[in-house]
Amino acid sequence: MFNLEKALATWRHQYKYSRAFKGRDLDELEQHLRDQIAFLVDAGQTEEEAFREAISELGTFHETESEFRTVAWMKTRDRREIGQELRHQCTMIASYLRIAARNLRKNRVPTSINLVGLSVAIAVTMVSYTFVSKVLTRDHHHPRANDLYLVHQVTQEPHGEQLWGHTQAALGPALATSSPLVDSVVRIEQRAVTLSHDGSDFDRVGHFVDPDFFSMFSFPTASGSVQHFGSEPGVVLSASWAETLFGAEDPVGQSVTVAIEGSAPQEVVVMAVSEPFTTEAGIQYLMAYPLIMLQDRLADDWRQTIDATFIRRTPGVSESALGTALQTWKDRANAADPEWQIIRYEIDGIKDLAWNRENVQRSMANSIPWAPVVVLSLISGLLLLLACFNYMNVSMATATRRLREIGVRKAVGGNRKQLMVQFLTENILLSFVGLLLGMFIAWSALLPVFSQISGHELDFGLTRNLRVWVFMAILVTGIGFLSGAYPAFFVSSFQPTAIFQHRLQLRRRRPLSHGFLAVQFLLAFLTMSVGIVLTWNGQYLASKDWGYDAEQLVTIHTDSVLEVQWVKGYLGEQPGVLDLTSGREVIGFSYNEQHTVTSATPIEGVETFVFGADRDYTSFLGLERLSGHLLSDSLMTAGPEAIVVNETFVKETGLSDPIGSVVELDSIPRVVVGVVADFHHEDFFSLIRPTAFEDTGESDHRIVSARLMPGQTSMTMAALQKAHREAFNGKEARVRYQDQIYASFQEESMGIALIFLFVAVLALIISCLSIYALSAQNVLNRLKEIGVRKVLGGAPLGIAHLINRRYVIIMTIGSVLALPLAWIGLDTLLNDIYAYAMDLSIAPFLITYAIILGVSLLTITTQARTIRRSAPAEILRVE
Amino acid sequence: MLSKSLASATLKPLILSMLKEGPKYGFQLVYRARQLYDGQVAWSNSKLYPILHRMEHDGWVESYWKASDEGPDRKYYRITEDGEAALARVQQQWKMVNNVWAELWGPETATG
Repeated sequence: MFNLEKALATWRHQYKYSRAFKGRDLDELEQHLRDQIAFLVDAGQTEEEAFREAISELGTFHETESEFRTVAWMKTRDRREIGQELRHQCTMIASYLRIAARNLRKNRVPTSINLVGLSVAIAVTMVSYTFVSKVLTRDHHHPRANDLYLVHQVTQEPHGEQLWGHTQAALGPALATSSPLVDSVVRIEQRAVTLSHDGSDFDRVGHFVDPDFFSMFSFPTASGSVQHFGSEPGVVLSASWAETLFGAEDPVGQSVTVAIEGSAPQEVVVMAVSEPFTTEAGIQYLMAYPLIMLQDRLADDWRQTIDATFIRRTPGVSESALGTALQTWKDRANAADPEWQIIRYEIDGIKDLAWNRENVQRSMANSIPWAPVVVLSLISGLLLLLACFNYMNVSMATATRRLREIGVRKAVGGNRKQLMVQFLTENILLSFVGLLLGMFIAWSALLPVFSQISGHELDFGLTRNLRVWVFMAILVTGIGFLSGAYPAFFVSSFQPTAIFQHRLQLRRRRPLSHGFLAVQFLLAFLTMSVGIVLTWNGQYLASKDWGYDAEQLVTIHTDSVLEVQWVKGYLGEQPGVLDLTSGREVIGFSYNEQHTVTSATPIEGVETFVFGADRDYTSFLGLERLSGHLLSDSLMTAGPEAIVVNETFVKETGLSDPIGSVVELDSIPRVVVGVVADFHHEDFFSLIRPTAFEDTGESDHRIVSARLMPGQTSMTMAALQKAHREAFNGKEARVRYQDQIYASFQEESMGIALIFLFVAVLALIISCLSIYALSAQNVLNRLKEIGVRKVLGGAPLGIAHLINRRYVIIMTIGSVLALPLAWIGLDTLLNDIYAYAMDLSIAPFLITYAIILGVSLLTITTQARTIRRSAPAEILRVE
Repeated sequence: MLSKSLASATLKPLILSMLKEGPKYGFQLVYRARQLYDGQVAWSNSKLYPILHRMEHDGWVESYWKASDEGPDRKYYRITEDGEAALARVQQQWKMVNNVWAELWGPETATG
């Protein structure tokens, strides 16, 4: 029998807890219903019919609530209940969080599995973000960075316009004194400097800068003061260089001896030491010297050039006005040097220097290291996705544990939206805990290791960088939503009646969860295969022929021909020395780049690496002769114009019959007398360049190369050092080992592979956590079946594999789908990083599959223990 | 049947005009509107109250509660001076629109 009062009370109960209705809104709505019902009953309808029609005309709860919500906030303000509303919202969030925390505590295993995955992915992401954001915002941290520009000059070249980073030395002072648009100018010149301190000599690049250098750029000092830099004699050391020269001692006030490009040594005092450079510092120095020390760059001579001229515009001056003002100096520069004609000057904002570096020749800016930026972004993206899919899989697998909770909440009036908000709050809370844990892992383990590998001080900059906080907030909510939206949607859809009648067929209702697991294994396969292929490639490169014999080869770098002669004389008498030669340059350490033109060369010519040494150098290196002669051949009668070139030289200059051809190296005619096989100069990252060997007089030689007998190296070098110190007033001989070049290349190569292997292991662990959670839940769900199987004589291990074999099938599908992606991606990656990478084969992918399969089976095997412990009698008795 | 968009656009002036006839409660407004449109208008009743509340917030109408014979009290709405001024402005605009239709369609068609 229909009872109107009861029906109205039930209707009103549904609206009671919504915050969209304020004050007596519900009284008004109820009275509306009553009026309409009375009207309809008068018109001849029954109370029940009238009630249904009135309700239907009013609209559903969601329609009415959303209409009232549009004015709810206005009413809250009118009623001066903002404080109360905020309090209510806070209480609600607190209650959500409390329930979330309680649920997370209750479901310890899935929570821990999710937390491990999330925190590891977040830790890697935070480190990647810190590095990538700093690299991409290089030099943004200088004061008034928006007003700082580097002046470029543009010339017309055969291939088109060319930008140059260097400018006329006189341009800076001219701008500083006569242009009101510029309020500060700093020029920088880089020169080779030999530093001597405490009996040790070091050859390094020194930065000679104008006095305003330290006010224009931000280089905080660790000790001393830069206030009087340039006006008083003194230099500033970088932190790393201070440590190399002085160790733990404070260098401020101490002196070092410097010889600029072989000139007479002079004493300089250290006035300050800068803090270690951070990754965002694009402009760096080892030692900053006042530009005044370079007498030849001070003259008001427009023919002299300087490596960089930075200008700072006066506040309010537009970029175009500054650019136009610069052009007035172009004619002056062109008149001074008729051979170097510039079309115009251009300015490049300091924030854009790294981005535009590729287009500028002779620029002192560093380009953006895209390889680590891409690799790190890729790694963190993959790991985050993996962690999210892991979260989804685990949440869906363990949803059955929460069936009763969902049923009860729905039965007492909780709607789907509230449940979804509750689940999403849980996810965001878990992501937040994951963030805290991840930050701790990153800060305590990853960041220090990464700082060491990258050679830059890395920190999150939490106290000074608002962007990090924004990124973390986006990360937490993003992960929370990405990983939680589908499980929340899925779990909240359960009907309480189905739950309590045990009618819920969870396995049938989870079509997407298998897809998620397949995607997760696809990602794991991708990451793992990258790690394995890169390691494989590292091994391949380690055994690859460099094209010359670097075994037992040492080079001794000297300062004078006298020293060269002494070293050669000394080593010549040593029994452990097999062969000796000397030169101006040696492979792997130095080269002389010269512009080459032949009758067959393409119009813009070819840049050639030229090695000047004595005539024995080519045979000393063991280079393979392809045609003609080596310079050492006794049959060779050509004079100093003779050169021996490599295959690439012949190819790129387009010589069809190279032997006897005349080519121009830096405008000097030379004759090709021989061709040798290509060899790798430094590494396998870059392409082999056109190379030429020339016979130079001993007066130019500064480096001695010696091939030693196996096992004699350390003894011979120790003897050399001792004799060298005696002969050269305590000065050490600067010895380099040729195989060090390979060692550092291998280190770099294996470093990349190791990072990926490390990430691959993490990816595998996260994926196996998923399998573990899924198979454990599967075993719990199918205990009855397991009981029957055990009674019929099934072995625990066999049962574990039987009921979980679908995970192996899903894993295989994921891997098969990943294979083409991995293949194409890796082919691109290898060819991008290395000029000479291995050819991809199926073998590393099969190994990847075998590892993932093995670990997955092992994970499933852990369930055999649960099965062994389960007592069929206990399980089946319940039935 | 009046389209939904036109019904929404005319809702506020319609309410103000009906309230100018005398104070009314929610269902009376719905009933009167149906009479006026001869049942040729359909709106969801849930829309009416938020609009009344907004008009009350804007000062165009004011409300008071009165005891009813059955159930909770009834909330009555009456037009204020501001409401009348607003109605006058809206009337001007609708008259303008009406004149345009009269010009285009002929006075008889435009006025019905």
